[in-house]
Amino acid sequence: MTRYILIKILRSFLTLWIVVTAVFFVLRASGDPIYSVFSLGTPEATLDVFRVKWGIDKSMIEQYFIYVSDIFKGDFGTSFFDGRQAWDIVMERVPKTLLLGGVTFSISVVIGVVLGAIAALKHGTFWDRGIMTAAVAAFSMPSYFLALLLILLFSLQLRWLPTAGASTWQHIILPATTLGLTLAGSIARFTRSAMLEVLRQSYMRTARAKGASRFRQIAWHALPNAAIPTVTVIGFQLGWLIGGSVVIETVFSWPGAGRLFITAVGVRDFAVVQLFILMVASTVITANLLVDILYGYLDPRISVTGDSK
Amino acid sequence: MKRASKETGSTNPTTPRGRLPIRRRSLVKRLGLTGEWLVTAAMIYIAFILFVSVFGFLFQPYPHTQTNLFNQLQPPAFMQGGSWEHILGTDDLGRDVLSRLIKGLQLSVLIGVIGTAIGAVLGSFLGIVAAHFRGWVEEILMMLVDVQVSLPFIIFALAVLAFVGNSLTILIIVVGIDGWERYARLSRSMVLSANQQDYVLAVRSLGLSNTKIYSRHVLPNIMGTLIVQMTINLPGVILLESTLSFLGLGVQPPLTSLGQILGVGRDYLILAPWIAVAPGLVIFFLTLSIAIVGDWLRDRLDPTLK
Repeated sequence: MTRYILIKILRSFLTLWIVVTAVFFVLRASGDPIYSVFSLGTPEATLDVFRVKWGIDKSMIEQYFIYVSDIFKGDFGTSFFDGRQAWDIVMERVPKTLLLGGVTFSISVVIGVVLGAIAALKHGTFWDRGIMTAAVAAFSMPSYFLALLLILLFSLQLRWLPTAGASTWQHIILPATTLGLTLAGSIARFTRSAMLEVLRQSYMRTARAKGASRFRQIAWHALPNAAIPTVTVIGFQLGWLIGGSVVIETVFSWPGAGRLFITAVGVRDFAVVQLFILMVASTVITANLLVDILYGYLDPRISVTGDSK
Repeated sequence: MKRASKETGSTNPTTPRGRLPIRRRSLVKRLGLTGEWLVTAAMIYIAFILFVSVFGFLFQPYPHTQTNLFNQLQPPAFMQGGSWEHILGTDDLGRDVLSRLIKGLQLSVLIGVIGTAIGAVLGSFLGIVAAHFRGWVEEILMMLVDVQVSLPFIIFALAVLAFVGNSLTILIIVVGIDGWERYARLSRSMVLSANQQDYVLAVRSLGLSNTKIYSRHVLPNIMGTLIVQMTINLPGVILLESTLSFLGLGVQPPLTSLGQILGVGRDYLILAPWIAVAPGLVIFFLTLSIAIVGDWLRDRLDPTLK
């Protein structure tokens, strides 16, 4: 088991290194970064001063080694635009993204688990089919279109909720609901199939036989067992959630890291884009690693040597 | 098959002069769609969308780039102030929304289908290569799968399109890369198990070349599962393109796609909600229909994929 985990961790670092390297070279292959700031007619002498200042006068390989060794020193480069550390620029946006992600997650887990459980308990009925169709619909809905529909209804027609910014607590409702509903669709599907699996088990019959109430059967015996596969699957959805929040933060002008990324990409701010991708990749890789390890612990029947997916 | 023979058996004796009865079963029955009205509706919608994206130019009322600054933001025919001149109204430059919708749909469907095909071919090929060579080739390819999974694809796509530049070709390639890892995993594990099966051992002992074994014998056997996977991936590819175009980094004017029209409509949500709502509904029902049909196909053809 320890050996298995060690190999997994090593592989994760290798994966991260490949992502960082690939992104570095793909972004640099787009041409001289100096022209993302200066226009074409700028005198060469001026450009050379800035090339030396930003360290982009050296060869690409040299730049790469400097970049990687700087990462180990905790230096992620400076923004070409305001000269501040990329780390500071990204980190001041992260709390807002975490807040949005947290609220989204809570909304989607509550809605998804409740609806998924109902669908499983009413298996094969009108409720089951209705909930599952709604779940597929939620998953097929372009998130930005759902965002526009909610804005149309709640902000422009009813005038209940604000559409842009993050100054009051009401501001989080629309973006979190948009993302949460989309995510709830897939959580409901996984909860349903996990519950159907659990309801078939003999311990559920035992619970019924010993006279446990219907509520106790479900809340005590069924849900905790169905939670194991559901939680792991939710862990794998994290990457999807981050990708979705980039879009939704832009639509609602939510001042988080995702919107910063879109702005930085637009002006080709290398350091900020690279750091953001590095952070997203390490978050997703860590989450997948934890899910992998947790899975082995929670359910020892799964062989740890086989393929995990 | 079984049901078909039973039916002809029961009706045969009643027909005169020994002619085979041509009692066609309805398409709904033959496809096993009885009672599946949702799947039937989804299929009809997909067929309609395909028809419009191929032949839509015949019905397109105006060129999609034709502007008319005297007729901006005119509401659709069924809203107050609308007219039948522009059934779905006009946009900020007085362009006919219906014409743009038809044109945009064409490109969205084209990118979605080609993109899905690229991902499927690339991924399946790499999966077969991994399963054939095993060893370090497999290690490297599976490593690349891990890399792909670790970065939400839309983030990678946005960065590439913004930095490397944007053209229709680059966009299709980027969108096509999305999802290759799913085919790679799937085809790798299926080829691994196929290589243990008797039919592959048999053709191998007959001395067939590897290319022939994989293209003539293994691929046809795993094709069904791959096609189901393509149906499941297609909505994701369409959504990816529309999201990129919505954010302004996908399809560029004068070309247009559904996502791009929505992106314009976002700025006129108060004055002219129809610009955004019309393409949004078209995309939504398209991805929903494909998802419903994909689920249905999977349950019917390949219960192992769940």
